[in-house]
Amino acid sequence: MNWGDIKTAFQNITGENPANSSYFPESRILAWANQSLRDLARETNYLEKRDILHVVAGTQEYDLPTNVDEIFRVTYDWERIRPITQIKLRAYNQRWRERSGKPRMYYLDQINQKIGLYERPDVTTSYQTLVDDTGTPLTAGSDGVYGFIIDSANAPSGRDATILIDRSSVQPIFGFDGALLNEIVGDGLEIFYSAIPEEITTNVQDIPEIPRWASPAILYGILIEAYSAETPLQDFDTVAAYSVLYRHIKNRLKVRSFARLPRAWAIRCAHEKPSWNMVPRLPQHIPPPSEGP
Amino acid sequence: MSLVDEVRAKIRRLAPDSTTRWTDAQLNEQIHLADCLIREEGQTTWQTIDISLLDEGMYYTLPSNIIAIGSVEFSLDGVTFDDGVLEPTTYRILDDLSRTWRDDRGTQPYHYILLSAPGIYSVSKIMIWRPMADATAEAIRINCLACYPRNDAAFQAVSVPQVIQEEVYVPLVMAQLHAAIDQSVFQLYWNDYRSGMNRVRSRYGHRYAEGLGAFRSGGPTLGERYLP
Repeated sequence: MNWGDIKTAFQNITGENPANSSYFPESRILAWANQSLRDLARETNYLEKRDILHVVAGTQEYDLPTNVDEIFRVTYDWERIRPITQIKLRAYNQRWRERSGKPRMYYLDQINQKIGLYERPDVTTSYQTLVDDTGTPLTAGSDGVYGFIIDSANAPSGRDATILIDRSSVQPIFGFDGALLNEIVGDGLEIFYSAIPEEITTNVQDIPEIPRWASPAILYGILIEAYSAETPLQDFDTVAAYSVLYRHIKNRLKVRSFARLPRAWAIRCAHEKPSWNMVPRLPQHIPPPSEGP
Repeated sequence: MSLVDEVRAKIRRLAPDSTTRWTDAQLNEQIHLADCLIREEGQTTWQTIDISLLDEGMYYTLPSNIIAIGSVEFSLDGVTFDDGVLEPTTYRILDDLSRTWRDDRGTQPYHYILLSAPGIYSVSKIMIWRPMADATAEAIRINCLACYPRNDAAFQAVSVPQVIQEEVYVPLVMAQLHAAIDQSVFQLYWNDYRSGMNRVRSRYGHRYAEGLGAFRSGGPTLGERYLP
């Protein structure tokens, strides 16, 4: 379902047309839709994203994408780096900010939405941008399609040719920085995170960032709010009925999110060994058995 | 007749004055909402989706009609998928294997990881490892549980056995229709739907299935113990 479908379904059930309703204008039901979407994403953790930040030599902290909810993995130059807190770094070395080199740890400043690296990187991310035959970087049009022109000198039959690239077909190899397609060569900061879904807009073609089979949950979320609001439509029995449907989808979404891999195929690490906090508790030597009576 | 036409006719029979309450388009919309939930929980609609591999391509976007992934197979020629099965893994396991696993390239992928639950438009991805160093015609085939994400011509043409329609589609659509009208009726149909779903799931899995039990090892069965 896209936003247009959800809006039509809401109108069919309540009889209120968001285009001219004083109680339920589009802005209000859109706010409820986004509220439901955030609630579902936070509780079921179905949405994970990956981004590559460009690192600059000498810069310790970088802005996180605005839609980050919780970071669960970070790599630098494609190798995993470990989380640490600024308090621990300070306890380790009062002048930790002065050290620079290859980062091995990261810390988060979630209030200011920043990620910091320790040590401070001493090189800048290297990457190559996808360019056309004249060396001009490819840029995206308003439809998200990247295109470039091969001029008559290089094109077949001596005519300018336009070649369009669908972004999704080049994504396995190329990332994008703003409007430019690029391929990271080295020293990039890769972050994996549970994401806050992008807001649905008034564009009727907008498809909410939720598994599509679960999109009826957004409709039920809106209906719960609409029947709870202090309007002539207010009816808490109806709210209870739609809550049953909403919670049912939320529970199913949890199953699909937390158990993404078939359980029968779960793989365990073959070389499990005592964890570090177990080592100090192991005896230094094995005592001889005590003699029996 | 199609699923939509048949379920709509059944609902009209259950609620004779429904033509004044709900138009055909409104009923079709409710049938589609019900269909999304039933296909997810019933787990009866399986499809295959082929993805061609690219040189060094690691993350591939998944189509949004996928609900869950059952298995991923590999083909060297992109036609016959009998060259291996990819096993699911985690980033943690790959990190334990090698710090530089991200730089590895090969001639065949052996593992996959999913980023986001499947089915999110232009977001859900599958990561394969190792990526192809030099791809020619190689492809992966994803066996997946699928749904109809839109109430369009493809959905309108779908057919479903009568018994499934009666067990789950009719009760769920009636429950949805009565949620805003009469909550006791809603609860009645909702309970019907829940018990119907259990029956549907047991019908899809054969109730007398023997599976791997037929190849068990160990002692004789109760009957065999009495053999001379």
